[in-house]
Amino acid sequence: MKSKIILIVEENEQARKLFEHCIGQLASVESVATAKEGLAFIANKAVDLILVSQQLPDLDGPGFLQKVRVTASPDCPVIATSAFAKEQEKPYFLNQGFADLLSKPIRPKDLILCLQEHLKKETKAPTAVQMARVFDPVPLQQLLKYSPPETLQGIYAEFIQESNELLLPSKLDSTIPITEELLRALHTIKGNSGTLGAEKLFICAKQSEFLGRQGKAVEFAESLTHLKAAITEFETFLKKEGKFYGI
Amino acid sequence: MAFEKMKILVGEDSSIIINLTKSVLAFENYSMKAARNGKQALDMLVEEDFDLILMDITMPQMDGIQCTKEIRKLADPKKNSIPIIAITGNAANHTPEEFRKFGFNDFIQKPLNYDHLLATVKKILG
Repeated sequence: MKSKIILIVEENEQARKLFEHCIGQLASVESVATAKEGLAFIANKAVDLILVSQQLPDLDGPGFLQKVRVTASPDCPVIATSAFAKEQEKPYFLNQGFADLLSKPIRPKDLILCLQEHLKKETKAPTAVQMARVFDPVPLQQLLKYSPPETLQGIYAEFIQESNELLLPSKLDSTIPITEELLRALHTIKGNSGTLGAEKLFICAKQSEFLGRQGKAVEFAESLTHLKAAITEFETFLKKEGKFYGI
Repeated sequence: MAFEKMKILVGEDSSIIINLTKSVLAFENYSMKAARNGKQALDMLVEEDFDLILMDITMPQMDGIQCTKEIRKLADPKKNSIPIIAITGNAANHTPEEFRKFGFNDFIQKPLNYDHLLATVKKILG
């Protein structure tokens, strides 16, 4: 268990020290005082669990959780700590996507038990890519309010062609160089796919960009394979189902 | 007097986003021109009057933050006070206060939600 890394995001210094002390016996501990520092930390390093206060100065708990999910760790357990929420309010927190709620003041024993329980759960859950839908129809429904279907049809076709072209020079083995140009292309594909509702493609592009920025060559090359497959899958989907959705 | 369309400058390197944004803004009767990088956006603003800028943060040559800083330094008070909305794919990297410090009036996140984009534009241009 000592090999696990727990990140504490807690604005109160006294509480932070206490958590560090308790958790230090259980796992490696990193602690920061603001949401911004926490997000910066996990952007650079994977952690096994996050303990986050609901009274951070720069972002509320659900806001922080949402950013964790979209930026770095789609499935790392995030436990809420709060001086104001009582045990009865736990369902609300679980509903928001937190793994658990600890109401302050927290007894060291409860803290340790809670963390042990969540660290034991090996995440065999499906990955974000597996969970994703090929297409989220909501952005298109929105766009159809403003633009004629034939215009949008053209834009979706252009998007697929451009995505393929941006990845064209990439030979898919682990020796593929992680260039700024390629990362920029992935960033563009990410922004475009999300805006057009190509959900799985968006998640693949996001992961590729993230892995590339981390310099993880092998995983990066593998993620590009997924991305290329997702582009093809989306293209096939549009040909078959585009009419149904109005384009 | 003929009613003049409000003019929006979009700094954005993705042609997909440019085309989408153009068709959505046209629906609300705004006219739009696009710059593909920050340098071009700055040059276009100096040459021509606009009512608002939508500025992508990540652009080649000159990024959206640098471009906005340069715009705020322009001598012409009409140009240097133009409302600028940041478009960002990495909002987690900056807080709202930081966006304001860079000189942006507001910011929206990618993936773009065009209802939200239009509401943000209308809030400023009316």
